[in-house]
Amino acid sequence: MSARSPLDMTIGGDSSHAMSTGTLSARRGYVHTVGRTFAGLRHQPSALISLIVLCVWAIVIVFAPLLAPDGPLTQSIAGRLSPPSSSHWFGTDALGRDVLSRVMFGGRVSVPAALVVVLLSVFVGCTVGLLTGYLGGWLDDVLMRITDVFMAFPLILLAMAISASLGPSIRNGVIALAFVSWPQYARVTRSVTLDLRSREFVLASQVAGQRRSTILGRVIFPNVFPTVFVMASVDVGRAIVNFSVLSFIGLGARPPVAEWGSMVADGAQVMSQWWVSTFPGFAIFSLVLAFNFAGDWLRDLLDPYSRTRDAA
Amino acid sequence: MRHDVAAEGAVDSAPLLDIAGLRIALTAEQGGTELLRGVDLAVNAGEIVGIVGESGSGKTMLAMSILQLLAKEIHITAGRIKFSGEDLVKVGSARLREVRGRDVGVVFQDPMSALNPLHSVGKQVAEPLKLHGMAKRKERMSRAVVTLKRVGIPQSEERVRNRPFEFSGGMRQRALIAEALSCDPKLLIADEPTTGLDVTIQVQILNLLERMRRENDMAIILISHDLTMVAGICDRIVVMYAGRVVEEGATADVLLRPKHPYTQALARSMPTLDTAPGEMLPALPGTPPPMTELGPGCSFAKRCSYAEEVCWRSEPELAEVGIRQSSACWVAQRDGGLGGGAA
Amino acid sequence: MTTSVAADAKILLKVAGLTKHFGPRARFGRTRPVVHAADDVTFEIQRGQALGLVGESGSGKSTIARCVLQVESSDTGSVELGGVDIAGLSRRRLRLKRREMQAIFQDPASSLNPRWTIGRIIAEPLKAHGWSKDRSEARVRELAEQVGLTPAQLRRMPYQLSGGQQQRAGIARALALSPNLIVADEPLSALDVSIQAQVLNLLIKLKSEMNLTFLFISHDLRVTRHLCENIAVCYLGNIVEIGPADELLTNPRHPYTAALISAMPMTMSDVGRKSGQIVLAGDPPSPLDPPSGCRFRTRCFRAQPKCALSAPPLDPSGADHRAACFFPLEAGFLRSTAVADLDVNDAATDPKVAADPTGNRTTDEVG
Repeated sequence: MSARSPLDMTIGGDSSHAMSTGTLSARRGYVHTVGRTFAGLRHQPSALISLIVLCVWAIVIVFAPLLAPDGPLTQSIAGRLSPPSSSHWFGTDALGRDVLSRVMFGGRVSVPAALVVVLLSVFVGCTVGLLTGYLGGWLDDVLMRITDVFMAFPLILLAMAISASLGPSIRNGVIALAFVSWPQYARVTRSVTLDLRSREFVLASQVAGQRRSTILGRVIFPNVFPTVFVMASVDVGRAIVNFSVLSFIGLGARPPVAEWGSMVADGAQVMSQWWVSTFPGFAIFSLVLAFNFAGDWLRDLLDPYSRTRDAA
Repeated sequence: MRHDVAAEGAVDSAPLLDIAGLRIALTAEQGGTELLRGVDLAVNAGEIVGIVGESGSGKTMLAMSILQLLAKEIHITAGRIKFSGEDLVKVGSARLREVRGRDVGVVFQDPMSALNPLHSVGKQVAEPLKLHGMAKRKERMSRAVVTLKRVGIPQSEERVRNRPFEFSGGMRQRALIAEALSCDPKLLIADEPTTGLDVTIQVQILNLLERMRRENDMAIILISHDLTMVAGICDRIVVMYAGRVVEEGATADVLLRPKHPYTQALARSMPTLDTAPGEMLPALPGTPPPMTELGPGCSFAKRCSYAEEVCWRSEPELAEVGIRQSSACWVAQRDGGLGGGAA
Repeated sequence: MTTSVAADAKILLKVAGLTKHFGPRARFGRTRPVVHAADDVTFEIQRGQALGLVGESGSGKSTIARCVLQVESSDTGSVELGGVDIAGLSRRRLRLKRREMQAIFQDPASSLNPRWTIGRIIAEPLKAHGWSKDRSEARVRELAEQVGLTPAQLRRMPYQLSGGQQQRAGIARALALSPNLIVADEPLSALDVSIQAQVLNLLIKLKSEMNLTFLFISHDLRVTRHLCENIAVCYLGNIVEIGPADELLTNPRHPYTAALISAMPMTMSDVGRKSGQIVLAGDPPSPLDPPSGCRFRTRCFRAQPKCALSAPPLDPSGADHRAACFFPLEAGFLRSTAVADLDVNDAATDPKVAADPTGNRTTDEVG
């Protein structure tokens, strides 16, 4: 018998008895578990707060044109560099633009850019990882050496180089970041695939006569997905920072587009007017933290083994 | 009170280990379910007792409770565990630490995970010596070499410096036994010591245990789910089901003339050279009950072919049925045995 | 195991010269050590019969099973299923041929996809071969009834079922396509003792009702003998003895078989009898570096110098009961006084292990 906790060993010798005598169908059981997890949020303040923060930001970003007091580009030279006040909650920057509005509109650049970066790198990375992990052979060797090369570089420098050579723009910044981020997903996917490939239920699928593509798509990938999803959710936060860094040095979004990184860069030149940098910086900070904590919570939620424990 | 098991010939007046009325349960926050429901067990010096049961029977709980090694969520609610006259339930932690390793040795199930992969085998084998007063490292190491030799590990002078991964499964298990034996304990508790090992290695390990008993007059409690395997070296067998002892007696008696329906059914359901091949075996129907769902009657009644009215109403106590054999069964107690006999 | 043409039609699985070594390829300058997992394995199984493949860890029985199932490709040798050599088939043809051969695995918990319901798991082979949803569902219900699962259990997840129930699901899945051959890899080992008998009964019932052919892998001789007409004993990649079950167990010819038999009490009256046990020396050698000549010689109580020089072939005489040994045991060996307490530690029975150029393990001191 496989090793289990002392409690599992003793409660009827087999924890499944409690469930098998119940009437829960599998689908209801799953919903039941998810519902219970949301209820459990009460006990996890960091996860709860982060989810709230994410929701608030989602609303702000989607409805920015309606919520923002001014446009992001509306200048008012007369009122430039004025501190936070009742008319400008976050003050104004060097060109008299309302910082609050720019922060809100900035989210419409930073966040989608980060999301695209992550989606692209997940897509490419997972595909590579699944193929190399499952098929092995020379493909595995070649692609893994390539990922080794990538990971030997400080990724942000590589991204800067790529972005600079492509020409600074939002699109090129996204491409550059995606280009340097896919290897980590390939690695993780590959290692999970390698582990799964030797598991008996994959063997069972092979014996049943499943095509390789079906096995990869329907058996292996669903088991890879939770790990990757959690990685990706935390990675969005990092992508926001990275994109901001690119913009900060002028290789991502160019002025006058409102983007948090370039806003921080602008504010760096007027350090005594602290509000110009601080608020966009804080926006980045809050999102990164929120993604981190939410990612942790997701990982606990999606781990199939913790679901088994709950049933015991 | 359980009957007295006295070996033929020389008799120890008091058993080395005397467990009476032991009850173990989960803490209230965890549900309060009882895991051991009144267990009596006595082991005399130099005796090998086999505790047999399936998962959930409580046999491992019983072993862990002797040295108070239970998980935090599990505690002893009643009963006593007397070792050499001392009740280990009542004794302080300092005294417990003395007993552990020095007077009572334990061998756990999984040799892979029971050994620290970073330390040498010799160091781990000698660890009980260190804990119980042997200060000089050189002295401990030479004792370790001797102990490794005793358990049959070749080239022990060199092997003592090996790391566990350099040992095979059988050798690791022998190293664990060596560790348990380093302070020459009077009692050895071996929990599934052969599970997972090859059959031919199992034979070696069991022979080793028997040799240790012979040479050191050490008592051994051997816990297993494999009835026939351990019967080879055990003097007595104790059968557990749903947290209680349902039968005990001399090995041959329990296996060939079982007096509890569970033991009988278990023995009959195993294929042997005598059973007709290709025939359906008299398999025991159903599964062991969850400890949370035990009713007032006998815990085995649902699966029992002898069950009568009384069996559903109240749970039988362990009582003597025949010479030196006890059974917790109303039918067996009333009739002095079970009709039908062993396969 | 006759070889006449008429009888060939009755032979469902024929394995000849199966050899599988792991790791001889060198890539980028690395050489990996070679694992001799299976060497020149040959056996046949008649339709409706079961062959038990018995051995310990490193014996190669799992490798043989995988090669038969073609989830590993063998280096040399043929695997004929119903007369067709499946070892050389194209991927597409092999997929189709798979309908005739299915498997039951050892650990039911890990052989069932933890994210799928039981119903979906059982239906997987059907879906893989294009069955319609309705037909699948009907078949799954039928299978569940055959193996003793309730319709409610079909909607559960594997972790919600007990070990015995999980294994029943695995059996149902194996039967879905009505295969002729079932390769069962230690299907009972992970189950509780009282459940083993239930599942064994189920296998017996299915075998006779559906005229199934089994390749049954196990380490437990008693269970194997109960289900299988013939038994093949494996040691370190070789089949060292093969023959009818009862014959092999009462009159083993290979010393290893005798040791295996003596390790497990074969009848209830054997239990508790301590004499008559053959205790082998040392641990099984590693398949990375098998001994020269006869691979068993380092632990054998009858080894002679000749045993180190060449490997004894499996007796090619064509008889039913054959062993690969230069000095096979006589009939009745197990019951003779020669075997009383055959402990290799004893001076009287010390095997003469030949001087060994490959430096393998010699006789150990053992309890």
